[in-house]
Amino acid sequence: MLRNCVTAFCLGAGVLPAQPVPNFRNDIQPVLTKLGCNSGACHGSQYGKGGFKLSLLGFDAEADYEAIVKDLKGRRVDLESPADSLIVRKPSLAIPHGGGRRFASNSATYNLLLSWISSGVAPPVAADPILVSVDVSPVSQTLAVGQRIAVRATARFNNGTSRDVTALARIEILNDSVAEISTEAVVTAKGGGRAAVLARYMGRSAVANLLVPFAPPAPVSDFQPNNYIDEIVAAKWKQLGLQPARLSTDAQFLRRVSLDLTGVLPKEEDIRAFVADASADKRARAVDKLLERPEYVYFWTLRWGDLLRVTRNGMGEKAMWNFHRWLNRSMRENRPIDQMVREILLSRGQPNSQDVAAFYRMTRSPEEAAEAVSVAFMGLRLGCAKCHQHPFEKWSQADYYGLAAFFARIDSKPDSDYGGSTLRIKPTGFVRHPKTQQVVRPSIPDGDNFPYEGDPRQQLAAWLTAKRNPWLARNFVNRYWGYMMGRGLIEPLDDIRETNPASIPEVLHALERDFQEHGFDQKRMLRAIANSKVYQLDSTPEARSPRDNVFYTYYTPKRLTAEQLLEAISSATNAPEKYPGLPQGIRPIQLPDPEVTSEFLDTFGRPRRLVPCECSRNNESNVTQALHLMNSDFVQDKIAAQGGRVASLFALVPTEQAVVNLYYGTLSRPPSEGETAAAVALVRQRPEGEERRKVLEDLLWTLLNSREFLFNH
Amino acid sequence: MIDLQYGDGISRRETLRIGSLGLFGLSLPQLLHAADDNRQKGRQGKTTSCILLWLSGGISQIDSFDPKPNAPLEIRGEFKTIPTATPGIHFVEHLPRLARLTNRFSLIRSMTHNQGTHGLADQLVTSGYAPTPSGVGVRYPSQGSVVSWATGYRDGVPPYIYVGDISGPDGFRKRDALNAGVLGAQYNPLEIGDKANDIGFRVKNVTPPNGVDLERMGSRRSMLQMLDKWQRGTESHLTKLEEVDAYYQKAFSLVTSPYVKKAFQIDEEPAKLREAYGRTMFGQSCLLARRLVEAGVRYVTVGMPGWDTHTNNFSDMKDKLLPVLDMAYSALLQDVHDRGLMDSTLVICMGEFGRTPKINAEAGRDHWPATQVFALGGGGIKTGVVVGATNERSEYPTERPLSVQDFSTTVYRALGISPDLVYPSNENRPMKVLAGGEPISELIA
Repeated sequence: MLRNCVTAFCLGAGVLPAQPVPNFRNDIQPVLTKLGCNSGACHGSQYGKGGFKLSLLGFDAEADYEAIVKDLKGRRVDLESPADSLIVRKPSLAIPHGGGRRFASNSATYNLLLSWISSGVAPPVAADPILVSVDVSPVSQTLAVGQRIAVRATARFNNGTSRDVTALARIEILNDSVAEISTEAVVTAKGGGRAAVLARYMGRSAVANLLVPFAPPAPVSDFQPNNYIDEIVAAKWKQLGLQPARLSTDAQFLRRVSLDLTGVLPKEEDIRAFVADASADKRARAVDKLLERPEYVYFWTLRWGDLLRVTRNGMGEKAMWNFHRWLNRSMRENRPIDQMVREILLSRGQPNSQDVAAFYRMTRSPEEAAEAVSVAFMGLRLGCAKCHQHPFEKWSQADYYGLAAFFARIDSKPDSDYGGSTLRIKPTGFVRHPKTQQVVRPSIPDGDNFPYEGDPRQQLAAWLTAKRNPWLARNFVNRYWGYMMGRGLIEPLDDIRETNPASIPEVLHALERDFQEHGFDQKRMLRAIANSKVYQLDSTPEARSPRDNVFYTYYTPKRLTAEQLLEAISSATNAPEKYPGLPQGIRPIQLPDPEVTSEFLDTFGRPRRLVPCECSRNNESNVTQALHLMNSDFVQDKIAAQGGRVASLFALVPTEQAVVNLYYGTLSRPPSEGETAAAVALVRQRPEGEERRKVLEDLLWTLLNSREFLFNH
Repeated sequence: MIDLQYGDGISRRETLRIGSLGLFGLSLPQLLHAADDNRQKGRQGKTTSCILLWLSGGISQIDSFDPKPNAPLEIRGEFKTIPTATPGIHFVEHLPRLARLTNRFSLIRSMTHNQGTHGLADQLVTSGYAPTPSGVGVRYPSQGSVVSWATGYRDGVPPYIYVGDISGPDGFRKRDALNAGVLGAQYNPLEIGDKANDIGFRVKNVTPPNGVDLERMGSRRSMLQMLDKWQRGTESHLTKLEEVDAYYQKAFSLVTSPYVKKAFQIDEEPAKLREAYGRTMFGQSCLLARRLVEAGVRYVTVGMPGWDTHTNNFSDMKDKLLPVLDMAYSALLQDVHDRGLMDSTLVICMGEFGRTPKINAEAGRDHWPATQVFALGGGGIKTGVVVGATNERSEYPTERPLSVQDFSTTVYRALGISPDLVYPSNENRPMKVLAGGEPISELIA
């Protein structure tokens, strides 16, 4: 009676009343989460700990209730003598506990648990207020170094109530060089940059953005924007007190943009002509020319092949070639990306003759299809949600299986003729939630669900390729930006989530809008990025530039990819690759899949195309690569090849000219006076003949092993 | 003047001493580690090395170290059993040498896990973590990679080497057992191939290529130092560029390191010893592993494929697999003992899972992770001990069921690495070397 009066009195304030009976879902679970009891390192791990298993970060209140109250013959809670319950004795260290002391006896937590036990261990029920969202305030703030603000997290429930959960939420700063946060949720700005404040509470999260200028905001000197991208980025620099590097030289720019758009080095005659050209718009014209080259088609077919996992090891050889040719055509025709995605998603028929049905040969279950589709087309790593609530994002198992359900009707029937199969849609097939075994309806992330009718993929395709759907555009523009700039606006490129905010969200949104509004045009997007001054900056950071270059104040040097490097070495030595079984003259960027043998490409991180992840391509350096470039017969044979570059220069042109030619062929620039003098001196030190040829070879070796060659800068 | 530097300026006198190993009774470890430093993170001053004999495919426990003579024929199979030097312990008849040497290694007969898929099981057993089932999951580092991270290069010697074959369409899967995953690719092993048995064996790319001698290598290096000026001497300190520099330094020191060179010169071994290991790829790779450990390599994995006997289990085991293993493993144990390396060298022999008790229709056995045998000993792990037992039909452990985590904890302790050590993943997420597991007390010396 008294209890109801208290409830009635407090309810009007719109705040969850201090309930005399602790609510398992909304009072106990958050405390267990805050204290780390159900973390992945303790009882929330795969195997639990000490025989006690809780759901990871408390996403399953019902299961956790069973574990606490019913398991272990009910010894964890003692209704008759609550203080004897293991659930309070262990974490208060009244008896040994592997996790140490989590709270003191007679602390608020201890009393809360005791109160819950004493009042009869009320279970979670459907009528409990259910958490809907969490927000964190202030949502965005600019701070000076040393400045402090208090951050608050508020939980909102489905009955319209809310509660301040600052003390119980996990609030952290995602970039601790920029700011730090105290246990009382006070943020202190430490250094320049952008920091996301992430508040997590019971499976919901919210992000706030803090900006700390590196220096007092100031106009950006000497920077004329080329396009909208430059305007937005310059505004951010101004806000942050950053200054960009100077513009790249012409030779530098040409090498860079040739590699980024076509995967190959520019030719000497093109470099000379470009540098000599005095027209104001030469860089834009160079970009246009590159986008029309056949190498552009090959190189982006390769990139798409990585994304869609085109490989005979899984698709079969015939189907792989079909897919490869379809990609080639699509790149040549600059097909709108939304159309390409639609066609892939809805493919059916015979992969050996139907161009892209083989996409589904790489996914052997609805779950795998969901993962591949979400990563490739949405940049979303739904995979974590397969087994538990995604630890950083709101995706639940229901979302995961809801997406998988769109693919539940895919059936692959082997054909009567050898090696073929037909992809069709069967009239039956469901996805069931692994725990409840309930049928899960096809449902789009964060949205509607649909009946199992006809080809459920139609609904997914319609949603995904709808002009206003941000997912498709965001995924692709972020990737294009990342491939060109060396760092995506969101990193990793395939880890797009609310809790992983973009470095400059304004740029991302502008690119998305442009992409959506202009027919999902890949060439247009690449052109815009290549024409931006931000892209064309020098690759040497200013003295005070932030090293991680999150704000693009200089062009981040990046190692040439495996195929780019092999192309570059082949053209630098004039010793092209030959691939047995493939037409003469096929070059590395034209290879259809990673099953074409190439130790070089494997050594330099070519992806196997078996896992749908950008990380499959490994551009990290290592000792094996250094050894390969330094010592392999493979490279040496190219350097010393009979019809190769050194062979065609030696004794046929003056030494100076040979040196200039070698520099153009490798570093895409002429040598400086000092470099020429040094190289010529080394050659002349040797007696004429073979010995001098060897020095030229050594010079080529040196250029191929220098960082200026190995990096795109 | 060409300055061909040895990794750390070893004097000519020391070079001579290395050349006459055995003559003066000096072992490489004694030479190298006389001035051991504390640079190793978390190594607790230990310098124990590990040789892992990786039986890729999953060795059948019944047809090797845990036979079941009393089970029905369709389980016990074709092989007879023989007694070993340990009373009450029997092996199959095709492991006679190992049977005599049971005082030199211990057995865990009760290893058990539930991962029956190649690749995933490889990762589980070598990393101590269940791999995440999703495609875009976390790949945990192998023991060798963790050791590599904790040790680093010393005197040009790579800390972690793989001797075996990686090529071929499923070479990538073999890498699952070897690689560093999220620890970072720089901690992957140096792969030196499987040609240790070839005449004139040469490790690829560690010696200069055809037509280039060491002197010319030196000229090239000087030229590179002179001309590779881009972004040098500036304040820019771009990490990726510095990394490439570091790898080139390591590569040069590897190429010029007298220790590494010597280690690879397997043809220096007396013919009699080479024959004792067996003139097979695996036998000679085991011998090479011993040399590598002596040169300071901290973790050597020697790969032996072929154990995935879904068909013709008995003929393959009898003709191709067991005799090779028996000879090579026993020779290695004997050799390690004779050279006084037992206290500082842990030798492990295992695969990714066991095999089905019930023989299938193709006279083979399929995957059975519930029961598995690991052999290990030395380097602080006791020898001559048999831990655990399985039921009469080798279906599940009956005594002392042990997890992969327990095994990993025990190994890391022996190697002086704390399982609680935290490393940053390549996306800067803090990761623990191990998350759980109890050291196996019966094996701790």
